Amino acid sequence: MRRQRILALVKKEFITVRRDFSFALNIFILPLIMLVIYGYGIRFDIQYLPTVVWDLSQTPQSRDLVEKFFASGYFRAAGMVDGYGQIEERFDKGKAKLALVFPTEFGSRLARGEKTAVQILVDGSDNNTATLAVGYASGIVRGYQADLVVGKLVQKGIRLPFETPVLTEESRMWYNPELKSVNFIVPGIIVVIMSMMGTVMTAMAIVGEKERGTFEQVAASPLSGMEFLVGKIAPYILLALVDMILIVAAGYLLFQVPIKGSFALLFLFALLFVSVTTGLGLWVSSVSDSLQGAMTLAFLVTLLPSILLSGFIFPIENFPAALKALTYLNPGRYFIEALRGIYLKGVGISVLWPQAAFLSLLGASLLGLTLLRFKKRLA
Amino acid sequence: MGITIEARNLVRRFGVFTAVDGVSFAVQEGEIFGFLGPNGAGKSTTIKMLCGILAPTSGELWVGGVDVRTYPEEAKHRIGYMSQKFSLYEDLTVWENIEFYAGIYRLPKESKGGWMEKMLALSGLEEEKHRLAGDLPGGYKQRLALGCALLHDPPIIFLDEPTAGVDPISRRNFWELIAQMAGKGKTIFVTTHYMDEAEHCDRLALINNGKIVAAGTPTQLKERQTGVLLEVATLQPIRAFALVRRELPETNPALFGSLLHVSLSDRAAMEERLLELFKNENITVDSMSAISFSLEDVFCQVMGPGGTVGV
Repeated sequence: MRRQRILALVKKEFITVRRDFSFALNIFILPLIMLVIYGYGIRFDIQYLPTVVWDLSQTPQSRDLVEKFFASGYFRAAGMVDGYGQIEERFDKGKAKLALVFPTEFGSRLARGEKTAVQILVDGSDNNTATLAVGYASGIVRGYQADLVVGKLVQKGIRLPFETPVLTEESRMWYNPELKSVNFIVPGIIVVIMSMMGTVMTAMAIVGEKERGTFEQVAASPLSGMEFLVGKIAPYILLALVDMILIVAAGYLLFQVPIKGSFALLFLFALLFVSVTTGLGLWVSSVSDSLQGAMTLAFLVTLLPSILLSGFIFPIENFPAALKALTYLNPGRYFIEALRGIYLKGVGISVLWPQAAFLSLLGASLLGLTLLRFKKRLA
Repeated sequence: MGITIEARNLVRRFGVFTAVDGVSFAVQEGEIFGFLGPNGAGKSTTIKMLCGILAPTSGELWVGGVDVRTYPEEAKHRIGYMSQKFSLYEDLTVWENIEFYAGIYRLPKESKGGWMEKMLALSGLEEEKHRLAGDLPGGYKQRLALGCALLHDPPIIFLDEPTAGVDPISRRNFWELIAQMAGKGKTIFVTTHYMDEAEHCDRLALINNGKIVAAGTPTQLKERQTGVLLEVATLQPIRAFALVRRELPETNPALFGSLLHVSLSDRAAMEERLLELFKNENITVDSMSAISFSLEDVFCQVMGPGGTVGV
């Protein structure tokens, strides 16, 4: 391993990256675009869900309940309707996600203390939002019912034997008190971008030399296979780490996502993770001979698992057993756990050592296997 | 002067296809050695094995006194290689390419700058120093490739069809450069399928279907041809060629412009036959005369259907 040769390769690689617009795009613009899109776009929580009301009863009782809905902050008024047809039309056009239907007898039956119901219709095409909406809606209805009961008792002159409400809940969201989705998203984006950088860029940089024939000239020089690989990988490891810092900084500046734990530990995990993803990139480059093939394979082994199987968006706990088992092989899973731990909980290596151990194991075996493959091919 | 490149029973297979089939040769120090053959004959495969880019299936090879398979790094220090396809970085400038290879060959700091300037001048690319290599015309690219291959001052230079797709003037300039290199005592191993280029070589090996079918100096190769070469001038050269190839394939007919060359082992008997053939097919012969073999004739002889191993 000669420093001078590796430096020549690294310098050349950086010139190439600087000149190629698509590289610059991938390295600097893509992470920011992802951060902004996911940061503003993905909401796991609901807020101001557009709601229409079909009020056949037109009574103080129905207006009371509607008011409670809109005062909650989860729902907002999207107009009054007259009939199921209109509700369907609003749902179809996306102008409303929820509809409240009050039967004619709603007010009078409640006044008489008889049983009645309010119908809640939800647009179920987005099941995550629908589930949350129904949950909040039934909470509001239950609260209203309790108020009614107490009101009736007081009206009848019955003094309650205790202060109402006697039982309240005090919930706190630990680690993410405001339940900001973006706090959850930033670590995920770091994983996605770093796996792309490490795997896709490394694979393309190496396969590109094979496809363009430039590798042949290098192969006729005294440069060893090891030197070539190190010189080709090093720039992308560096760029992946720069990207990580970029996302951390942008997350902080744009979305006020702070790091609770140690940045040094975060950096250490990033280093471990990027060694795994570049190892994966090397493997991809060793099995594909065209840029097209390399790109497809690299995206397949990085983007899909890092978004779908890492717990970035879909919680691993809800996966079927077979899929869950598969996630143990996904380096992104460990990195995302570590990132969330460091970012949101501020935990240290005493908690995250299993993740570090699994990442190291994956990285070492991948690098070892690939180097062996390369040795055989170059010999 | 000793032997500086040697191959013994070199074989390379790709699956069931044998690209190089038991090739042996030796190149003297300071020689221009030409490897001549049609496309797909195994020229590039041989040169790649000599340069340590491709591992031979079997056989032995030494370059600069070093076994390429056992000591690839040492062997590679002694050689400069110019591949058939332009294989420098197109997205780097002329100067950046030179700088890159100066780093790869670890030129010492003190002499590095001087050598880089010298190679830039040798390629005649001073004006194009900061142009992207990909934007250069073909002839310039070849010279840059040669400049980069010579950057570490190797005693042995491998050139794989160095002038393919280059205009005639650039070709001539290029060969002048090669002659200069040889004058300085460098050994040059060059593959080509241009006959005029083959004439520049000190010694030649003709390769076909992975085997060496003839070897020697250009003069030896020409003199070794037996029989008589007839040049036939006719108004219907293409028809005449097709006819002879069908009826008398052993004469190895070849077209040179509008002239037909046929080689006859026994002139007296064959000339009659030939004239009769032409007459029956209504092909008018303007003239027919015996000429001396050119390298191209030798090439067609050896590579042709009736070609015999002329070593």
